Amino acid sequence: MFMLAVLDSSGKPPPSGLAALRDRTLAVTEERSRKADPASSALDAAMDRYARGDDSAFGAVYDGLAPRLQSFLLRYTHDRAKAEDVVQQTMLKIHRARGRFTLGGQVVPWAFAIARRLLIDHHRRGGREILAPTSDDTLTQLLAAVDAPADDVAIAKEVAEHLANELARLPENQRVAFELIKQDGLSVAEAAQVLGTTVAAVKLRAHRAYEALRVVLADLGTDTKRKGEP
Amino acid sequence: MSTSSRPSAPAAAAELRARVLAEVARTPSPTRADYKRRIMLVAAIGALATVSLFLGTGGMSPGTRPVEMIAFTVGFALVAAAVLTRLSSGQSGSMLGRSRPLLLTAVVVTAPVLAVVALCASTFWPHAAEDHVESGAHLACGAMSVLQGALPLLALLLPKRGTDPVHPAVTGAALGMTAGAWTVVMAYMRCPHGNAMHCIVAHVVPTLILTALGAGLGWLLLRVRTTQP
Repeated sequence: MFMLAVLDSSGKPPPSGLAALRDRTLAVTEERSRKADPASSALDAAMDRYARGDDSAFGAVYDGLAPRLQSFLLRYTHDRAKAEDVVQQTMLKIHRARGRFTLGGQVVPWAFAIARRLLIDHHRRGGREILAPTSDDTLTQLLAAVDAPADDVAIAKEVAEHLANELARLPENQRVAFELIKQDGLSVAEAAQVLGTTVAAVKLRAHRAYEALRVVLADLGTDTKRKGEP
Repeated sequence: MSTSSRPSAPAAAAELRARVLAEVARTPSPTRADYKRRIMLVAAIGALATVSLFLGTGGMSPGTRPVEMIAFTVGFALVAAAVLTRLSSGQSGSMLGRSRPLLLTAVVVTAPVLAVVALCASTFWPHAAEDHVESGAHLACGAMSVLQGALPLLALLLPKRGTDPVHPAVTGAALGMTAGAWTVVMAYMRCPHGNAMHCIVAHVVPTLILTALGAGLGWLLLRVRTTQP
């Protein structure tokens, strides 16, 4: 995009017809992407450099992706060694497929989709220790770090347990959509790419998950009020 | 995660990073320019093999059909093939290809559209559509269509091996229908019959066979798999 701006300001005639339309579309897409998430844009740029042959860019791609992937995988495996194994395989698959990375492509949904598929494949091949996701470990660590009154901690833990149970009860497509957006920080469009569906479908799934969790919270609020009554 | 293992997490992360970067340095991979060259080569070989097979099995054969009818049927099939090729193999701006609903819609809609085109052609040129076709000719022509579609299907599938982590069977089905649409183009050029029933049974139905074949091969070849140590 910067190159385009330089060319335009240098007095050369702007590209015409389809080329101009393509350039404008690309520029608008890049601008939107940059505004939406600068970290993701930097990752995409690093991946683009790597695809063009700059081997040193892989370090930046790894540093941007690996922690997010590991966090995503740990939620499902509860096993750091297994999560690291899948992270390693995901990064190596990205390395081997770097030539396929298209200009304007997004590396984050691609990496999450590969990691998710490898996790499912691993499970099918007999990795029975992979469990439904819960947030117990995170919750325990979080509560240990919070300097709060014991009653508040107990209530927070109870609420979190109810929410985690409800989340585990949700249909898989709703739960995964909710987790990708809320816990892994993907945009709705990125989550749609990971799940291979449309943005509207992901919005609907996530909305249903929100509604289910909201009902649980409302019920808990009613119970707490009842308990508080003399 | 036990409390005792927590302090080693950063060290483990650093070790993993070093391991991955060492493996990457040890096994070079093709850059974008290398990959484009390979794709062009595979596409050229696929196209050359398909055209050779087409010419080797008789090539163009108008029969009693008027030129306008051939242009009409070939033209529509060509548009369908080009759109499907763009949809299933073209760059979508995403590394994960087109969405499942879009690919499924393309797969489901194409065969009925091609059948409607065959019916329209028989309505517009009724004299050409009146010729009697033996049932054996349906079978031979259909088998030839499937055979001619297998080459473009392989040319479309092979460069995408192990690259679809989201919906490999659906992508394979879309590629199968794309190969099928190209087969219909060739069928309308090589087959002398203008009979609507023959066009549907021997030209359009094989696209469904190629779609099913593409879905199966897509699941086998396109999906991302765990690498065994």
